[in-house]
Amino acid sequence: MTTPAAPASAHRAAPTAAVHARGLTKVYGSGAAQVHALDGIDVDFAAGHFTAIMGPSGSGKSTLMHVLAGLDTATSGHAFVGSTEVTGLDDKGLTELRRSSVGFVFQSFNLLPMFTAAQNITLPVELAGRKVEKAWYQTLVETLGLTDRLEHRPSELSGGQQQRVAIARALVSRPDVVFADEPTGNLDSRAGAEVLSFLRRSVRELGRTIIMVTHDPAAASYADRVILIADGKIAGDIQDPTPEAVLTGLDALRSLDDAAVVPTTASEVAR
Amino acid sequence: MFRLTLAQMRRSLGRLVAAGIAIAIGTGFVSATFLASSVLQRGTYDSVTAQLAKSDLIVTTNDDSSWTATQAAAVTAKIDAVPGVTATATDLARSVTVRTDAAGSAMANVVLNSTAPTEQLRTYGIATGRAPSADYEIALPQSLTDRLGVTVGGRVTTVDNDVSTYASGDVTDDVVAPGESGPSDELNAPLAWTVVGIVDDPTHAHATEGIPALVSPGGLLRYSPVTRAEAAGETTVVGVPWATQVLVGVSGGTDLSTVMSAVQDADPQLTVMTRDLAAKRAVSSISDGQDIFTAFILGFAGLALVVAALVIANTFQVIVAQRRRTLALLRCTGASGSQLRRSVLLEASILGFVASVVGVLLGTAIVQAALLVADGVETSIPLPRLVSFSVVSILVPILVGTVVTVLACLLPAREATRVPPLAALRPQEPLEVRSRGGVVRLTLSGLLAIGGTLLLLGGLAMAKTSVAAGLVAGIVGGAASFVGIAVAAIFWLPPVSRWLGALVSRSGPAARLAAANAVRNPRRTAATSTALLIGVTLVTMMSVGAASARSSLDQALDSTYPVDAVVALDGVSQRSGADQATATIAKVAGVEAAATVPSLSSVQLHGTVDGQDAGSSADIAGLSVADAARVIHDDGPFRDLRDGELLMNEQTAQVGYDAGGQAVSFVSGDVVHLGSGTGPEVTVVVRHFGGQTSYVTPTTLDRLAAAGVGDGDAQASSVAMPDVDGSDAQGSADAATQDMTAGDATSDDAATQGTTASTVQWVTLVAFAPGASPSDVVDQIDEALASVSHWTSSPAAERDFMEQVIDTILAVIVGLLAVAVLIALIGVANTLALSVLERRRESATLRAIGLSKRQLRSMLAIEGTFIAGVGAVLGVVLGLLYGWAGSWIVLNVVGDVHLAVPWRDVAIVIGVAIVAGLVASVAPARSATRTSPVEALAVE
Repeated sequence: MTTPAAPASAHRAAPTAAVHARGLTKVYGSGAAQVHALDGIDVDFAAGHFTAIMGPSGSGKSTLMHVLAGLDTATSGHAFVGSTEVTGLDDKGLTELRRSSVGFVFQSFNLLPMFTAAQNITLPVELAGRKVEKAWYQTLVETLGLTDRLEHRPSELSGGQQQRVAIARALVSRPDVVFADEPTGNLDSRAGAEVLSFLRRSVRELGRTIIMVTHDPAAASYADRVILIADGKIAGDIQDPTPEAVLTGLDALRSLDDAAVVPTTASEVAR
Repeated sequence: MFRLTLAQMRRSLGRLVAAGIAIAIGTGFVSATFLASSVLQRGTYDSVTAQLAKSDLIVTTNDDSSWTATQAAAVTAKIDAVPGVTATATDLARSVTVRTDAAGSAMANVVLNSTAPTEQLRTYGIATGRAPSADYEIALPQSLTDRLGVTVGGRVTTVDNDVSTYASGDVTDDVVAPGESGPSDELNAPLAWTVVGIVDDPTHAHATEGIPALVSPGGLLRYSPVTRAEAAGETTVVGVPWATQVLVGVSGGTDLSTVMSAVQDADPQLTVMTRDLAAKRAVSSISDGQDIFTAFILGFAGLALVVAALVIANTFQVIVAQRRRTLALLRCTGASGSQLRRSVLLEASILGFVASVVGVLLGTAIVQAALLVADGVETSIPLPRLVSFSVVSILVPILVGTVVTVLACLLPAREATRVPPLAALRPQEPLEVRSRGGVVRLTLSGLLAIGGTLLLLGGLAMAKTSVAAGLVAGIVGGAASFVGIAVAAIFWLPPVSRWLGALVSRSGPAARLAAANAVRNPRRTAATSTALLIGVTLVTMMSVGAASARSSLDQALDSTYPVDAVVALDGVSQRSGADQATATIAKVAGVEAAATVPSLSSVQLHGTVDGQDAGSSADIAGLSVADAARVIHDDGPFRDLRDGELLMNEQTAQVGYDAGGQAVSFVSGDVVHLGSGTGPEVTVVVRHFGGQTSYVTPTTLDRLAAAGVGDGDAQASSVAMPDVDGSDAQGSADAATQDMTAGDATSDDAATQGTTASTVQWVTLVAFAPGASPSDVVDQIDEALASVSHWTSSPAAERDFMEQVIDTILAVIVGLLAVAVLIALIGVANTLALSVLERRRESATLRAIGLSKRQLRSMLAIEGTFIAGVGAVLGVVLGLLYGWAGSWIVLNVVGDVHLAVPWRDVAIVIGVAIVAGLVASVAPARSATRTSPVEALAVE
């Protein structure tokens, strides 16, 4: 988190990776009902980048995010946030990780209805028993355009405003990485575009690292890089995506899905 | 619809079980009350009818008074003379202490009953041996012979309870042998008996009176010193042999009504009844009391049910809210609003019915368990071994439980019909239950609260003139205002909780979350807290009342009794003997000081008030200033007492009332003549101090005694021998002897006058050492003075006893109220569990943004404590106010009311609530911490 904004051309190298995973595997069920949600994934997410994870339903994109963020356990393999191995942490360590290194933005905002916007934003810092950095808080509020909404309760805010409060809440403790799960899923296209712009601004102007799961190619095109997932494996990697490029990549996955069910081939072709 | 309802019930089983427990406890309470009452009724019915044996007629006095042995003998003689009467038997009985011959260590109190002449009139059977036929033969129950270690053919000794208390001399020495009747001056002598049989009393005919023993009628008369004295014509001796009825056998073929009228003609003072009528009368007189008792307990059961209804209403509201999507979906697929309402009400009826059945089983089990325990103990009330069911004891609780549940669910059911079909299409919103109560509710509750409070205040004002009117106004007003306050809780509880929450919030983020959560659903929190508030208010009120009574009583007793104990030395006639007794008393551990005081009882006072002749009578004691300083608590009024002065207090100085109802009193400076209008003169000094006795200096008293002033008749002291109840807890404190001197100051007319010196009575005034147990000290004084006939009365011991009574009553009432509190605490746990269930996602979000498990747990613990604490704290505040108001109304006649705060009880109540809140949070916290943060990401 102390690393300043890195240029978009940063390569997949371990030293600059905010998050990386090696051989990450997640198996649900056993025997005949066994499902490989994640099948030996190796991936690096560069610090100071906005990365989107895309894939069809059931591809494992959400599972990947959950395991990377320490919300879910891996069957095998390792996931790291910075230099901390998430996959080896106990609950206490995970709580500490969430307090200092990880932020979350949810599809349905998940603000606490009984608190004002300002109280919602500062809650993570208070839970950690720390002091709010006044200057940083001010920067966030101004960047996200919340200055005149701070005393409102969530029920008095529009969906877009609520999500911006949620983004501020995710960033307030200067985490190494923010995970955003379908952040535009509950928003109309205009509010969605606005939220995505804010996410991009927080990467470019505030130097944060964001990993976003989405199924919307338009949303993915706001990212610096798109990683495509299919059947629990990396199925594609698009730098500086445009909506068209993302669509093409997805189409390739879909046609393969329709044609054959040999995962190794699918990922090779996509690459 | 029925299948759907059942399916939905299965899904919410956990919630329903929690609500069901509340209703089951409530109905269990109701059912246990009914069962216990019918058990008691059955037992007393059996016992009462058994007392009538198989007699044909029962004869009693007109006014339900009792006969002495002689009177009873006279009555039976008259009845025996009536043609057609074959046999008569009285229920003459006498309470005695029985012990074994030898060491006399094992002893028991029994009631001696006399044998009946015929089988028809017999109320007991004889298990082994034979019935007593000669004097000095006795039959005892098996349990007693086992305890005493005697068998048939063995010997036992009895001592009369009523005489031994004031007996002089060593009672174990002089046993009167069979066949030799003791002289009347040895009334207290023990008697020896031969055990001839074992009494069999399967119907517990006389169990309400004590352990029964059987002797022949002659033996009973021969036995009792007092009845013996009475038989010898000594009518002045007061003793208490009871006979309340005569059982009469009538020869077959005689017309019962003819015999009845003949008996009636024989003595118009008698009431003659058939056995059926007598049984009915006896049972109804007992069951009337029981009905009131049952109604009293049912009041508490009703309260428990009201609280249970609150818990249930709460639970169903949440259940309906949770099913919002399902209900909307049903509406979308064609269910009508009324179908949904019926479904909810059906669910409520099923729950109510099942829970009530469980409650009845619970109540039955408790009563049965109590009976099993009681079976092993000797009880004063005969009890059956098994619970007997009545239709009422089963149907009423089930019906009441079901109806209460359904009523509690009317509001949630209405909410179910209001779910729009559109709700199925919307994403699940966070539950926002409307917090506004209706205008009707506000108006009604406001009127009740304000009107009730005004009435209560009116009661406070009225109590100054009439306690009864004040009490009625106070109870009605208090109840109305409390109902109003409870119903209006939805309006005032949320703001108060928010304010309290703001206080709690300061202690950290978990506390802030908890406080915010606790007040986010005002209606639910209000209902939960109200449920607890009701019980806590009543418990606190009772405890305040008891504390106020206790401390007001202390004050009243302090002012009524200026000393710790008074020992009236009946058996002493000389100063030397009295001084000796006083010296003995002074040596008793726990006695700080003792002083010998001569006294004269019922001294006539003659004087003038406002120019009119005025007179009264007073008990006068001669107390020196030095002795007063040693034994009187507050000796201020006694310090400047001079020869020739009569120290009186406001009550004793009062002579009577004038035509306008104003008190007429002697005042300081008045000169009165004692004994007669020409008797010795003294100057009245009126001061404020306690007691009914007036004081002069010892020198003055000697002068008065020499002049023959006062009730100098020696006979009077035996007349005045108080009618002591042998079972008195203190064994000495007796209302009749509160005063320093024996005798009745108001009813005793003209004192014996004459020039012969009057008899001075000697008393010892005693001051206890600080911290000594009054009842222990009194026991030891009695022990030390065993050889002297005396009477000890101790206001300190009396206070001890009164406090025990108050504490016992308080414990019983608090115990009954505790059921309502328990149900309310279940409600707290339920509310918390429901809230946690609702907030699954929110908990997960909090975990995702850095809330540790520990913080989550403490957040819920604080929330539970907060909900319970709000109810408890507000309940305590209300309880204090109501308790004070009630105490003031009842106690302001006694004197200055001391409004006490029972800090210990308040601390216990709040402590219990806080612990319960913590405990209530354990299960929800466990389920909440198990929730993975992943759920925060899930979209429903």
